[in-house]
Amino acid sequence: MLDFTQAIIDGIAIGSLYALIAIGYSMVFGVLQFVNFAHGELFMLGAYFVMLFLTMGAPLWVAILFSLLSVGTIAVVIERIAYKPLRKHSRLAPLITAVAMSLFLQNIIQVLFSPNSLSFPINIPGNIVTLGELFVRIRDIGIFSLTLLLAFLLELFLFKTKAGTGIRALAMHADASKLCGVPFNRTVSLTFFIGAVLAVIAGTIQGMATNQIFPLMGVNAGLKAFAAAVLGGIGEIRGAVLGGLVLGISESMLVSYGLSTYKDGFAFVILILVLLIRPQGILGRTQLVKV
Amino acid sequence: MLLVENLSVNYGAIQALKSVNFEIFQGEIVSLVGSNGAGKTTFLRTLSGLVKAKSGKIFFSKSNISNIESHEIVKLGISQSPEGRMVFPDMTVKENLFMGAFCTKNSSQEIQKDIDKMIDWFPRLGERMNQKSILLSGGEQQMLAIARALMARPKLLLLDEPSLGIAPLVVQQIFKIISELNRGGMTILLAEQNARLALKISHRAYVLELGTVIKKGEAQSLLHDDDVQRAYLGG
Repeated sequence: MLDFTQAIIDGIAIGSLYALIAIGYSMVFGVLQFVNFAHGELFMLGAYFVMLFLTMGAPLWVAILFSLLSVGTIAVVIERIAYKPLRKHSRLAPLITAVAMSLFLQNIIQVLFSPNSLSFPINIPGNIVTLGELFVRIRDIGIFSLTLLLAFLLELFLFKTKAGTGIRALAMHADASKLCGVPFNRTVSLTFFIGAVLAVIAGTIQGMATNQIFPLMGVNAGLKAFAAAVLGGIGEIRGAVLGGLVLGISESMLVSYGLSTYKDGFAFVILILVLLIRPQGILGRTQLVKV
Repeated sequence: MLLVENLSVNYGAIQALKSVNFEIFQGEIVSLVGSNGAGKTTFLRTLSGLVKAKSGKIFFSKSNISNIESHEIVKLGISQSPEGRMVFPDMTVKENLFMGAFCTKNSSQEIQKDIDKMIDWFPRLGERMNQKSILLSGGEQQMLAIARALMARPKLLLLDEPSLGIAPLVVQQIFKIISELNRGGMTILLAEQNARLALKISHRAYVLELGTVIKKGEAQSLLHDDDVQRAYLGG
């Protein structure tokens, strides 16, 4: 039981990062029924941009802010130039383009920086406190709380603001939302921007926690977060958060029970099982359509 | 008020509308009748900007709206209750009505006032205000779709098949309300398969067949037209 609880505690930080990335997948899927496979690269770009601004002498909060704006803008531009022209074509076309975009971003960073890992200029030390027999990193508690706070703020935005309501309406029924006056392109851009912002925050945390960043860091994180989004119920914000946490904790359980070799593959076992057993995910619903 | 000139719409190689000319004046109810697949829905979707025309022009209050995006068209004053109702399933009736006012700059007090008006028109919605719209019956969803379209305070209301899949008694109620709305000054374009019902409450009508207007005129005379009787009114 002690191992079990300890594994949960160990898994929440990485689970939180999965959750933050998964939200972006989920929101974009919600509005366009499209999986942005370049989303993991926004997580990577976020970390690189923060590092870039830090080395230029910016204080941390300025570096993060600039990185949010830069990567958010990049995400919007990617959607406009690479995905939007393909919207009316088969669903496969933008999907393949997204994979290509993902490779393009990985490679351009390798060219501009280095294919190797770079050390991140700022790190959060992993101080540990003991709670009875359990070991807790203070950092992990911070990451977990921040994730919950951001998810809460996002829900507040989606339910209490006009722009947020527009996103929800668009996700529920695109044509109906247009007929109500929701500006389609602007709302899609906003969705990509929000997803990018959360990915950048996750990337920055990853950089600060592990003290290193590398051009392919978005590949694994991105794919796992995608699995997490499907697990939680793609299209649902709460599902993405739950899916991320469940995945992070499951991985940490595998490690604590001595199966760490299989850690990175486990997300995909979950993905396959979910698709077989409950394709709509934990919190997803199958939509009832009345005709 | 609305003038459509030589409107053609294609879906790939299929021609859905062929050079349609259409006009509606302030204060009228004009119905667009025709069987399934005649192009009624395509016509309404094109007016709302959901479908782009291949050629032709649409003028609303004298300005050309052919290339304007949907969300701008509703701001100009053309609001649509679409085929299949398309209510927002996870939103309550009230939230759906608020969505109807999305295109306006109305304050929430004004919107609330409009919602009260909708409850006067559609008392059933008043009883269901805080329920998710997916839980409503088909007839109630149709009422909600019309009310949502009205929340935009349109100058021209487009109604696509308000009778589709709804109990006859409720259809009667809905058509009575449509008629009353028009008497209150609303200009209405009604696309309807149920030609008899539509013609009864309309001033004028267009008959659409395979994307072409084959007949137009006073609704009363079309109701007694032999061809129309044979094709759409069952003898």
